[in-house]
Order: sequence, then C-alpha cells, then structure tokens
Amino acid sequence: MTSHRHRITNRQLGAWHRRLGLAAAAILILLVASGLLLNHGDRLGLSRIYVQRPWLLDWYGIHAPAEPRGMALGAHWLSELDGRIYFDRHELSNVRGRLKGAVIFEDTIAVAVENDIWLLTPSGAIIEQLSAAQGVPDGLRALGVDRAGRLVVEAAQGIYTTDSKLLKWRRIAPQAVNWARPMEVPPALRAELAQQYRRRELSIERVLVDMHSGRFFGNIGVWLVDLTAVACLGLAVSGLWLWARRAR
Amino acid sequence: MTARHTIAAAFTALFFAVMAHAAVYQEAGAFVAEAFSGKPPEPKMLWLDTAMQAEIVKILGHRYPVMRLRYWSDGPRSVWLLEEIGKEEPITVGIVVNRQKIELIKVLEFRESRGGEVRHPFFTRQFEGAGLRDDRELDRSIDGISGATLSVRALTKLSRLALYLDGKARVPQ
Repeated sequence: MTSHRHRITNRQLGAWHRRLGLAAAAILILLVASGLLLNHGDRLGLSRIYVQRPWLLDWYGIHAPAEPRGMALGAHWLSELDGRIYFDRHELSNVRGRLKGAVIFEDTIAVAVENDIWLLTPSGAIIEQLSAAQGVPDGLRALGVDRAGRLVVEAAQGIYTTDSKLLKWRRIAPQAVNWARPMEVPPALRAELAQQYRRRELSIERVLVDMHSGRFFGNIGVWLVDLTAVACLGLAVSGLWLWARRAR
Repeated sequence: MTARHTIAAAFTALFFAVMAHAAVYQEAGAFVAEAFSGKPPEPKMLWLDTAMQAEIVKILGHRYPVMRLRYWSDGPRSVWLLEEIGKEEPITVGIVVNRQKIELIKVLEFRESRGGEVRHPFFTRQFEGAGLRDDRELDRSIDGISGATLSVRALTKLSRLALYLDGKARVPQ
C-alpha cells in the first residue's frame, strides 16, 4: 500500500517537475543568456555599445531635446544638445556641458563649454582643454574676439583676454567685442543631431540588465522573473525529492 | 503605468543616480597650488606627437584624446592633470612625479556610479614611489579593490602615463 502510494506520488511529482521545467524554460534561457553576457560585460565593452534600433529607443522613451544650441563658424557649426557637443555632425565625445561660445581664433577654433575652453583644429580635432587650473577665469559666460583679434571671455568677475598661447589671462575694461551668439541650427543638421543623440543614449548593457531583472517588460516582467525563480526552487526541491525516492 | 513608462522612469532614475554620484574631491587648481606649496610655476606645454601617441596607445589602449597637454614642472618634480574613463565616465586625476617616481596621486573628480573607493589613501598610497619599467609597466604590483576593477585599472594606467609623459617632458624638444 505504502509502495503504491509512493509510485503514484512519484508519478505526480515527475509530472509537476516537467510542467515546472517547461513553464520556466523560456524565461530561464533569457536569464541565462543575459546573465552570461553581463558577467563578461566589461570585457565585451557592452556599456559602450549603443542601441541603434528606433523601435527599442522608442520603447525606452528616449527622445532628443527639441532645440540644439548652435553657433556658426564659417562653413562649420558648433552645437550643443542637452550637454553633448557636436562639431558639424560629429560628437566631441570628451566634451560635455553647456555651450557658452565658439569663435575662430587665429588658426584654431576656441569653444567655451561650462568653465573650460577647448581648442580645436579647423577640422574639429581636439588640440587641448583649458580649465581654471590653466588660468581660465572662473564662471565663463561668453566667448568672443576683439578688434585686435584677441580671444576675450566674459566671466563672473569681468572681461578677460589672453596671449596667443592662452597662458596668461588679464582683466580688461569692457570694449567692442564680437561675441559668439547662438543661432538657429539648419533643419537638416538639427535632424541629424537628434538622431545622433538618440543613438548614444542607450547601451546594450542597460537593455541586458533590464531583461535580466524583467523590467524590460514592465511590472509584469518583474513578476514573471520572480515566478521563474520560485519555479527553479520548486524544480530543485522536486528533483532532489525524486532522486531520493528512487535511490531508496 | 505601462511597461514603457516603467522603463523610462527606471532609466531616468538611473541617469540621475549616476549624475548624483559625480563628485569633486579637490579643484584641479588647488591640487597644483598645493603641490608647489602655494606657488605653482607657469604651466608648460607638451605636444603629443604621433610617436608619443603610439606609446600612449600601449599604455592606455587608445590615443589620449587631445593633441597637447599643459603641465607644471619645477626641478625634478612635475604635476599632471589627466583623465581616463573607468567604465563610462572620465575620472580626473592629479599626479605629482618626483625624480621619475610617483610622489602623489589623487582622484580630483569622480563621475562613475561605482568604484569611488579608489579615491581613498589606503588605495592611492600604493602608487607612492612607483617608477616605470622599460616595458611601460609600473615597477610594482597594485592591489585591486573588489567591485572597482575598472577604476583601479584607470588609475594604474594614468600613473604609467604620467611617468611616461614626465620622461618625455625632460627630453629637450
């Protein structure tokens, strides 16, 4: 009698073991795949690979800010979109912050971003970054060039100019300066910048983390992952139980 | 709340969490002034030419993203302000080199969400006295910090870079 009851219980347990396994399989495969990739994410550089698919960016609600802040420099444009700085269509990946001004200065382009001045070649390559440590006056507000062709900045404590190597800054009296002013960015460039912005916002690693936690699918996803975890616990317990019974 | 809104909210929260972690531990100007007892010399310029960038690639794994650097030098000492990305954001580091050895390394600004332990003296003290071997590696091993691997790697690379640049700055150009 006891043996018959055990046989039925074992059969029932086996059936439940299979059902649990099947129910958990799909999500378990997703968890294992995303977990393995995340474990090696640093080596694979997943945080620096960005999602390009528009539908996925839409799913995350990632949109470019409406209006870039731009300044025309002859045939080129220096633009800022939500703290990202672009030379024409190319992002200056190390430069972040509010664009305060951009002017052609001698054979370079000087760009004021936050409290730093960046010098670029005429083709947009970064020559160097100058900050307060290199003598740039605190609290940059505007950038311009005076009639003598000297670089001039408006800072928190007044107006300053510098030598050609930008080594020494000295305060000067207010005078006629051609200040860099924001202008309306051409529509074609604006559209291109919006696309570029979106394509640098969401990393593959972020998506994998959200898939692994279930958040990619919202609250339902989190619950499904929780249920899968419980199912895995059930599989372990039922599997051990079956093994113990058969071993006896 | 739809799944899309949940994701967008989580993403926004993560963004602000990361931004909130950006911390300035010392202004770069103050670091330079302190290194020279309040009387820093005029900054000098070092052009990173093609040959130097090729060596820098061996140290950092990529070119340094500017064409020239300013540094401060007085006798056997030089001070460098350098940046390297840990995981996603640049870490700003001040390094004092004295007689081709690291005298001081300090994290000035840390923008990453994790790995900020590298700013503590228990970690940075390991670099003091370290020099550069011919193969551009430090002449000593640096103990890592669990959970801060990429930040440790970034500081180690920058210390090697500062020693390399100090050597190049001493060669008449």
